[in-house]
Amino acid sequence: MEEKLLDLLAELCEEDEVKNNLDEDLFESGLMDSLAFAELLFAIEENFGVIIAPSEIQRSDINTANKIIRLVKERMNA
Amino acid sequence: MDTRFVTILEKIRQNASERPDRLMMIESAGETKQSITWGQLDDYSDRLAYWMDSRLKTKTPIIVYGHKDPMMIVCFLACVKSGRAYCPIDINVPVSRTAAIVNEVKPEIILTTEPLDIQASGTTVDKEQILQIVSAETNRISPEKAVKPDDVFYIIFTSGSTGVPKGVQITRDCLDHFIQWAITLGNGVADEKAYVFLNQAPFSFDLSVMDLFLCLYTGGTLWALPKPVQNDMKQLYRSLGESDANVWVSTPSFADVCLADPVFSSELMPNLTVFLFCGEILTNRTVERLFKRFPNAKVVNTYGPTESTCAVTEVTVTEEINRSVTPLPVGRPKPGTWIRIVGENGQILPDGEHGEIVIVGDSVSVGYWNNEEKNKLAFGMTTENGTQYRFYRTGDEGYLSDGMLYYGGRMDLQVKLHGYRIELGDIENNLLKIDGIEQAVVIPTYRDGKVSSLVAGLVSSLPVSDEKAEVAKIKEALKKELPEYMIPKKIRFLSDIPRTNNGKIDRKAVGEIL
Repeated sequence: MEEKLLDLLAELCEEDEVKNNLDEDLFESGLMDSLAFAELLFAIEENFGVIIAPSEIQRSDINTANKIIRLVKERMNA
Repeated sequence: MDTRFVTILEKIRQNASERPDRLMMIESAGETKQSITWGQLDDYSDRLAYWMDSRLKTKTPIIVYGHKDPMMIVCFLACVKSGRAYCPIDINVPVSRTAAIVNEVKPEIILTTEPLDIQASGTTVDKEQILQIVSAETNRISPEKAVKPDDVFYIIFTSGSTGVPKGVQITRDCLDHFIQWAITLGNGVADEKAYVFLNQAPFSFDLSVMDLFLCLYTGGTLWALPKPVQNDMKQLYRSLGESDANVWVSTPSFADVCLADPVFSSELMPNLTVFLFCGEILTNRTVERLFKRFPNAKVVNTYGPTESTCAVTEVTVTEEINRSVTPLPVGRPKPGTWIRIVGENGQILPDGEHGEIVIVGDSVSVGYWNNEEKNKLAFGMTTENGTQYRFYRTGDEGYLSDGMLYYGGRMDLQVKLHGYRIELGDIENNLLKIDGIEQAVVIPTYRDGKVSSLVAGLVSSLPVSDEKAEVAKIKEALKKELPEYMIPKKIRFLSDIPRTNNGKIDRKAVGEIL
């Protein structure tokens, strides 16, 4: 699951380096814009059946690769 | 033109006198809102127009700088009521680029609704002063002073390949011809319904002409989403729900961003009847998602460059079309517009053959501001139906099938990123202004057939020890010259830039390295 999610992230950020910097702020570094973020949420829904609505979370809850992995795991186990 | 058609300035006056207390525009900035009524709009713009006309010596266009403040519309109308074109500049344009545009236009005054710290010709009249004028000025402009059918109504500056923006001049006639057709889009936006129109695009992006002028013509209300609301998803959905908008106008990219949350549906916006898209490729995927969330709304795809007044073709995308046609067509030309597909030797190509899209008709711009050289290359006169019309060579590639136009991409180095029109040469030339940069090339990256980001390859004469810090420094320097959306996402240093045998940059080879 983690590997698949990281592949998705690398594709959307157009940068393989995200796989090595799991705590980097993806928005601050300019790797992810609001459109790529929207695409990520669609991809998460398609691949893992988990719906994350931007209106129910803070951006600071989901701004690094590690936080995204943690959130998807939580939702999958919920 | 249809003689029964009431022109835009007459129609605005009628709307204001019939329904003076209705809100004409609401800027939805979170808890606080700024709004203006139809009566205020007409009254304020009459007084401001008089004030300007009694003080200004020339008919030079006037620059209006700001964001989504309702006073922006007062300023636009005041300019045209006084017989002068307006030139809108949004706050996303950095000061140095604003100064470059000011230098090109050389306006007598600059009207501002947001702070602008500029060292340039022309006196700045700020919002406080404008408010004072519209309350203290007792005279009103006489209607005969307004721009005539052949006069320029607005000038919108767009990215130029040399690094200097080009000003597209649109006359009152062009705008009226556009509106006459645009009010028929979707189910038609008849005035008695007094629709709420969504405004997403900045006023310096000609997509905004669609929502602003449909609203002004039909006596509706414009619901404007300022930048902070667009950037905060929670605020955005709250604002969209509160708007209760009937007509959606945006780039497809903005709809994609909104679709990220299941809350974006007909439950949030129950009275939304039509999505009008323009500015970039509309994908089947976006349409499919919209159909699911808004089963009763129509989706209309349109096409047209700034040079032919916002849009000239339209198609209502049905489930049937969306299932069977990829990529989606961009539509059929409006009345008064002809689409020609032209081959390399200037010959008109038959149905089905690919070539350059040339637009002929009554909404084609009279040319770029003060740029004879470019005008000769891009514009000209031709005959259709026994009448002389202007034409514009778009630089877009495409083909016709049974009168339906299909878009195939650019023939030059212009790209559309999230709907914004960008000349790669504009970025490259601005990169070359930065100390130490000897060569620069910018190339687009694609996802789903659409440009998703830009990458720059640079050759520096200075040793680069800390690449990350250097990249950050270059991005900072570039932000002083270019709007945020033109800053490349990635910057890479190269030892050399590959070139073809005749010395031109080999963009394909560069793409492979980057």
